[in-house]
Amino acid sequence: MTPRNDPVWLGAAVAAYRVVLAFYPRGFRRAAEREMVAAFRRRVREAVGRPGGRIGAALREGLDLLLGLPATWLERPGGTAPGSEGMEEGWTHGLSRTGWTMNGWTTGGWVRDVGRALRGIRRRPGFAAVVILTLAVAIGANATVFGIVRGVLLEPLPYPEPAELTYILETDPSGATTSVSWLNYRDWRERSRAFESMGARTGWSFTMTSEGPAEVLSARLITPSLLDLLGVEPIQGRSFTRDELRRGERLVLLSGDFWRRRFGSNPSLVGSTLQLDGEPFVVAGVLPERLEFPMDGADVFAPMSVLSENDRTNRASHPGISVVGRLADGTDLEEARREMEGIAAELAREHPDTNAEDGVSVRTLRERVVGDAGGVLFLLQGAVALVLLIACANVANLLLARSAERGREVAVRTSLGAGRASLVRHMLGEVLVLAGIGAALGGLLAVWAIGLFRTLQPGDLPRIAHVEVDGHVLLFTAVLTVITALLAGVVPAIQASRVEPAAILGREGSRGSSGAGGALRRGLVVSEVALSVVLLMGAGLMVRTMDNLLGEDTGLDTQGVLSVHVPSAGGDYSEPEARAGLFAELLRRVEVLPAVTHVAGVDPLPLSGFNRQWTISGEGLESVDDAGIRTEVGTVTPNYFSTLGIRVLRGTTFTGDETGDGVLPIMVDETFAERLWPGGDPLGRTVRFTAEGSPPMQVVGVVEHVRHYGVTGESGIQLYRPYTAGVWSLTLVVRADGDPMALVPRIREILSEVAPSVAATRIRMMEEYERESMAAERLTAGMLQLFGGVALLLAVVGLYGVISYSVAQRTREFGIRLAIGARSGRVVAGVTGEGLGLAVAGVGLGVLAAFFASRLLETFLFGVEPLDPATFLAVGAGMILVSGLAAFVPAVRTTRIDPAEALRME
Amino acid sequence: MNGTEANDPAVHLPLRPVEYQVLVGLSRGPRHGYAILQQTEERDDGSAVPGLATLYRAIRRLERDGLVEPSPGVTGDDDERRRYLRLTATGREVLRAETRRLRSMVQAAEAALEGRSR
Repeated sequence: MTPRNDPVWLGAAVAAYRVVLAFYPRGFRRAAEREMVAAFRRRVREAVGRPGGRIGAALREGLDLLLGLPATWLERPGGTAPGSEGMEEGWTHGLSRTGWTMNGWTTGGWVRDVGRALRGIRRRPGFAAVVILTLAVAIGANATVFGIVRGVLLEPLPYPEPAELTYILETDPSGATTSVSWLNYRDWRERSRAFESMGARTGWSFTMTSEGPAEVLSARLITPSLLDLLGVEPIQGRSFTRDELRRGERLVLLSGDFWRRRFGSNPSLVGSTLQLDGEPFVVAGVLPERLEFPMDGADVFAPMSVLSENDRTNRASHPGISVVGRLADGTDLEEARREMEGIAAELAREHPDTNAEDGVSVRTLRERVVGDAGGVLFLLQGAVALVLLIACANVANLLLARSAERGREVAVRTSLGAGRASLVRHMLGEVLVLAGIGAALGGLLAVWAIGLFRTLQPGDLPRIAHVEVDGHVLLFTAVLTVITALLAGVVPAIQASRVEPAAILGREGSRGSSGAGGALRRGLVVSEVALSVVLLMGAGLMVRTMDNLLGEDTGLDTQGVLSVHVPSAGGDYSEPEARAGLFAELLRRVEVLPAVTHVAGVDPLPLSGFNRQWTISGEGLESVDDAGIRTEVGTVTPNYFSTLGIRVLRGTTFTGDETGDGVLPIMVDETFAERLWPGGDPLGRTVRFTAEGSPPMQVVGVVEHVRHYGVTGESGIQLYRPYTAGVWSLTLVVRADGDPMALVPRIREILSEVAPSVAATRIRMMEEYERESMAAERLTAGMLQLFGGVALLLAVVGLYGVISYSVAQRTREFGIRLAIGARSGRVVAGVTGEGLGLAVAGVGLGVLAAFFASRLLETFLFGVEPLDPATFLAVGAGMILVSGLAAFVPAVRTTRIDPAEALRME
Repeated sequence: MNGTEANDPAVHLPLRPVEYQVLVGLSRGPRHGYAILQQTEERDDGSAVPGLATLYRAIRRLERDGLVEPSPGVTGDDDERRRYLRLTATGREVLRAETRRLRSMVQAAEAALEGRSR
């Protein structure tokens, strides 16, 4: 039984068949499960060319299995009442009205059930609409989250043998990863045996000046081995050859997206020359579109020879390189890790001055790509599954209420000879049809929602641009629909078939208000409330987390600050003096624009997620050992601190006249001062970067610490140097009266006047960066609030339904009580109390469940404990209050009962 | 097997169509479930082919009532997952009785139809 030419869905269909089969009695499964599953597979395979084809056969068998489920439980050995055999199915020789086909025999029986269900929907459009909408929202939300989980987490990376791909970085003594030195990469490659091959890449940017106005391109510098090991081949032209690289030729590859977007997929572009950073680069070829990590987000790819001489020859320089390795056959990650650690130790011995502190981190590429998204997404999948459970409980409730209403109809049919199983099958078929329609709507909802996710890209999720509704998502939705129908339908269906015709028909006029059905309905409402409490608790904790995050101070005043990145462009600006001159002129001209109140420059921009780290040594300092300590380094213009509201605590700030000659004035933050000179005076002290040829630097001022990576990130000690000491690019930060975005065209104009070969990029409000740094928390909070809201709504509707149904059933009883003098207030209070009782039970259970569930949220929380009493109290009290209202509304209806009329009823 | 409980075949009557079909299928010798299904399909006599779940549930009921039992001597030709079944003596009796009953029903119906046709 090897799967030859099996359609891809067959495996999933078999899995779904197994899922349904799992609901059968154990004895039955022991005897028949294996054989049935094998037979199912065979039956579907052999259905090629028959009416309905393989899908028809799979659906037919699935339905047969589903519809036979309740009867199998009823006819279980020992579970059968004597003489009840004839009740099991609608068919008996003596009584049958429809003959042979009435039995489970027929393949056409379910068609009739669907037809009957559709007629039922037409008769009760309101009921059907509520059920369909409830299920559409729940199934749609589940399909959406599953689609994202699948696209982001489950879909393998689009490279051959993706499991062999690893992502390698260096580490500092704290264990934090840092980028790789070019020479270290070369040595790794040469010495390692655990890897079949290694490739390197680093982020870059070029300013293109040959095609109209200057334009900044996002770029990657890569080794050709990276393309080989990822199996990425050019769709036009060719890759770099090693000979060309050895000769140091200037070549680029374009990404397919950039080629289409910027050049209209013009094939004659290959072989032509682009002017990048003032130098000619020949277009060697075009890579495919929609490349994924580590090839994503770049317009062009150039060889590593673009790196500066220092970056390529100085082992201490770590120019942002990361390494991708493909494990050799038969090597596992652990072996590779051990080997690389050995090599790193070797290098540390050979180059103690540069490598003493360098460790190595080897992870799977998948781990690097997916990162923290797994936690967020599995949490959301769990949350949305709770919503589905609540929806099922609600639908089950509606069905129970309705089947109680239809008690007489069922009783009549039973007494006319309709078997219990056929009734159950009929009802289950009806739920399945309703769920099917709901799932179709839910599917549309998922397509829409996933599209929205792709456009808005909330939560900074990796690979989100590749998420789509594919066959797997549709199949998941289909399986979910069947499970939903079972969950929501089985209990009410069996309940409905248990009616005793004699009891109901004989008890003319009075309808049971409570009994087993009522208890079930109340149980369902209690569990709905409990599940909602769990979701709301999660939502509440995340709301508090967001509150705390937003209230947290980064030390930066980013409100209304525009940021404009101005990269250096080689060519005319290869000399530091020329760059300093360009930036000085730019600042001078932007500063005098009307409305501009502050302007400054900084590199790198805080909150942008990127920082530079250099190692310093302090001469004669006991707090610094020989290896030096790492500090974050910012390069700034004099107005930087005042523009972003960073307070100068001691000393002075820069003047803008500092030069790299002699002793360079620097500023440090409070944590730097405390770390190097605990309790002492930092002003006038001297430190030095460990890199060769760097001048001594003297502290002239101390400023507040800034949380460079936003409130959720950890920031180290900080050092600021003046931009006049040399900087490759600068981000302008502009504060203005009115909307600073309105200044953008003018700033671009100034830039093109001052430096035609330089273009601005990453033009954004700084608040956007701040928002992004909380993206995961924001997504979790937003989705939990949404799911919590839906859950609350469903639970309240469920509670309202149960209470108003109970009021309707007891109209006669209330009528009598009012007639004999009961005060209407007491009746209202009694009914409301009934609802409150259910709510309190639900809240109690919910709090208990949340007690465990909220720990799952722990990693997302900020400044609030998983068992935050305030949140628990607020959610519990709120739920009880809302439930009270939901019960009060139908309770008030009792006051409108006219006793005389109520007594005349029925 | 509790085949002793019901030596009188009449207590098992009437059979459901799917049960009847299983008994007929096994009357020529041991078979596994899927073969019974294929036999029905091949006979193509207008009776609808049961779904797998319907079939296996029927087999289970017949086993419970002692009309069929696992056939120990026969092993699967291509797949050890299959259980071969055979008729018990009671099963054969019941099949005969049901066939008689159906025949008399058919005869009665034919007589009635002929009587009505002018």
